[in-house]
Amino acid sequence: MISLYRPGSSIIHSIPAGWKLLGLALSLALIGFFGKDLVGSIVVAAGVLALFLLAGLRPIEILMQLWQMKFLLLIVLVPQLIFAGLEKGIYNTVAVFSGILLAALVSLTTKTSDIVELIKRITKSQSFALLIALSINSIALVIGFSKSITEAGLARGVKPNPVRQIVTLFVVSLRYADDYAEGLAARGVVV
Amino acid sequence: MSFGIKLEAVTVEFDGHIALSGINLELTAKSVAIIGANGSGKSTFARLLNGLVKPTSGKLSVLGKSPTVSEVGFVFSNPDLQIVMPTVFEDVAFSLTGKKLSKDEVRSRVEAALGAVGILELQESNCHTLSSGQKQLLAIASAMVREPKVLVADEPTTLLDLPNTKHISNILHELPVQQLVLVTHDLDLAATCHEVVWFDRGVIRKSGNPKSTIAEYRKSFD
Repeated sequence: MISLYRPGSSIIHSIPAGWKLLGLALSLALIGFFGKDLVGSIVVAAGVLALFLLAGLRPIEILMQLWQMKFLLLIVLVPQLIFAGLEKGIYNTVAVFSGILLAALVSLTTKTSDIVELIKRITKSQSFALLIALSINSIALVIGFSKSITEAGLARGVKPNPVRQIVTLFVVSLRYADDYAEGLAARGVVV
Repeated sequence: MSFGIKLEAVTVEFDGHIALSGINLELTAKSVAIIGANGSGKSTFARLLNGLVKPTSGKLSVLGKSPTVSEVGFVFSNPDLQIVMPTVFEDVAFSLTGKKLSKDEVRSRVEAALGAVGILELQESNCHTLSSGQKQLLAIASAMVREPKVLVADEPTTLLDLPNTKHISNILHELPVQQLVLVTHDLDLAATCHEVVWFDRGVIRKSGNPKSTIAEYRKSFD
């Protein structure tokens, strides 16, 4: 589900979007530099946990984020364990997932409109900012279409098939795009 | 200042198909319901009113001018078609993009619009997790935040249950607009308006008093 944003009034919530993104970039560089041994990994993981707590988010939120990335966790961890060994593999995986969790923290504490506003200021383009907003919004729509297609198939006794699902999803999305464009025009969006 | 909606010999044609044929109509009632069977031209008529569809021929004016999105708000039957931003507040505020308002002005107008439809407490909610009724209220707030003089709602209660239909109907009639146009299949909803126009295969079959127009419409199916 999109709109990861969780409303709040924490210090993390109140930091402007631009500073948060700058902080994220800096943190990723620091994680890459320090998160290479046991102490570094513990400091990085504890730092991420502290930032989540500072944002008023419970530790369960971290576990939920990790659960959503369980397959990615496997894809990152298994090759690391094979090629870099147990210790190094775990340190590297902690570093990668700390970075992802920090990016998630930015999403969880920053309104989409603030990010869109920042993009508009940087690119000086209302159309590009709108494109980003629509792209974010379309994730929820496409997930909804996919669910409806699966349910429609099951209701008619058709077993799920990835190729058929993708083709149908593509056709439904294109058809919806026309109606959506009319909806945007009705709201006064001119691109 | 001119008041109401005026069509003079308006025809709308799509790819050789005539959706509306030579419509002459003047609507001045505070609320107007548009009824008719599927394909009768109701939705085309609604889209004409805020400029989504242009007349192929004839003349159309809303409040004495050519219709514009800023003066004529529009609400679709499927509110998902109008949601752009992830949260309720952001989505309503999106309608004010380009209006050059301060953050405080935006907040005040968005809160007023959400308050007018009774969903102020949902302002931080995710739009995609709202119920159908709440989404329709969000669509109405998104249209109303621009402070349109006329609001056109195309089958606003089609996807709703009875309690939500009644709630939306009450909200729509209380909105601070000069004129409300409801396109609907719901004859109970149509009966709440001051005037009813019955479209049939691209022409107006009857318009006027809700009771007699709806009764004649019902009779046409006997």
